[in-house]
Amino acid sequence: MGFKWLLLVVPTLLTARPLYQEPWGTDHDLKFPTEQPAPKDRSLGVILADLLISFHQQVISPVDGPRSHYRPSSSQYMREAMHNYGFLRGFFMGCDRLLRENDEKWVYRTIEVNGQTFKYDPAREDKN
Amino acid sequence: MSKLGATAVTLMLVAGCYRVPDKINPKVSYEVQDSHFKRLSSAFPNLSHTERNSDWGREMVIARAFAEELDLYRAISTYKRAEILVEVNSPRKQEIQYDMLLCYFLAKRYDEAVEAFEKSSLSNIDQSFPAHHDLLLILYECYRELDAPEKEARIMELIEKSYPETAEKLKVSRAIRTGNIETLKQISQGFHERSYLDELLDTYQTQKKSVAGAQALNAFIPGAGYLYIGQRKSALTAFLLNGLFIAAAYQFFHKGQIAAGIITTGFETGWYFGGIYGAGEEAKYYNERIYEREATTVLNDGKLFPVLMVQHGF
Repeated sequence: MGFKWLLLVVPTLLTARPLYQEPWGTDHDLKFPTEQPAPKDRSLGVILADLLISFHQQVISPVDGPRSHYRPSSSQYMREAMHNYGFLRGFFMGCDRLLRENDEKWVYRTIEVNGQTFKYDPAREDKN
Repeated sequence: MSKLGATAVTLMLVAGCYRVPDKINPKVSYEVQDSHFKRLSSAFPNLSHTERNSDWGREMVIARAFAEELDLYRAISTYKRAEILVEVNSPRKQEIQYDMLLCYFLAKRYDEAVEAFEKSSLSNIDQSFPAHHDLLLILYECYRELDAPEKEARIMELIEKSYPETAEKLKVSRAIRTGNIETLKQISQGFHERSYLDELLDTYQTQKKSVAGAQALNAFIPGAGYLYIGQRKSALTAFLLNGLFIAAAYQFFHKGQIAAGIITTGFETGWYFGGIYGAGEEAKYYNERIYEREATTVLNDGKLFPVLMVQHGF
């Protein structure tokens, strides 16, 4: 009895499975394959810096609250700069940003986040 | 003296290693006011009484009202309804399609504008089409925004052939918007008398900061480059931090604390080279911002934005 049951159920499950996979019908054309971006090979320096920055963002920074005058914040800026340009240049860019971390308005573009105005300074060569 | 000279040369080389290119990449944009489009008349004949009372005619009247207020999303939806309702062979079909294209263009939805154009029957039109000039202008700008140089060049050829004055204005507009100083100088030399381009170039050259200068200054005295571009607080921070870290590193090495000395030197390297790099980048950004301010005024006053060259409204 058990064998007969298996004979009936297992092939049905095996063959029926693709029919239950979505998408099906005309929606199939509308569903684009979700491509995950391939992870970049990061140097040891960038990985270590990532860990340090995460520690700063999750442990140190919440103690006295966010204080950056910029968006992205200086720690996030250094992380993005390292991801975009490698460890050394990212480190220099991050140091430069820390030197500029003050309330001077200068000629920066500004953005509003939760009712607060921040200087907009992305971690890219082209800041536009 | 020779030691000082060697130091100076080393610092110059150091500044040169992280040289920021002295080329601006400005972002000049426009805001269209609905009053501007209300002043422009439609390129097409008014709807007749019979047309206005038809289903598609009523939709078109509503769509135009939305479009004139620059309520573009609603306008496009309503134009689409009109397009569905209008007879296939109606001469108004192309008008509806063109109006939709203009809406997409004004909404800065360039890819959708091109898609709408490619799906429409507008690709078969010639100079007899009432909005021929504006259609070419819109397509040129869309292809430029979408970075399709071949199509852009093809449209430019058509504009040059039919509307040489507009073609000249577009060339000037493009040079101003991309911050192509060399091209602007060449164009300004073509004018017989002093033009708005000379004003723009002179103002920019007077106010711009030297990128190499800012970097060199920061290499000689950390913070001097920031001071040169007008960031006084950053200059003070850079000067103090560099001074403190240099002094600390010297003390550590002097007292035989090599590990602490190396760590401190590592941080000092960041402050020093980061400062040189940053002063250059900030000088470039400053130049872009002052150029954008001047260029926006020139483009608006001279109606050199393609959207302001459009001759007809809804």
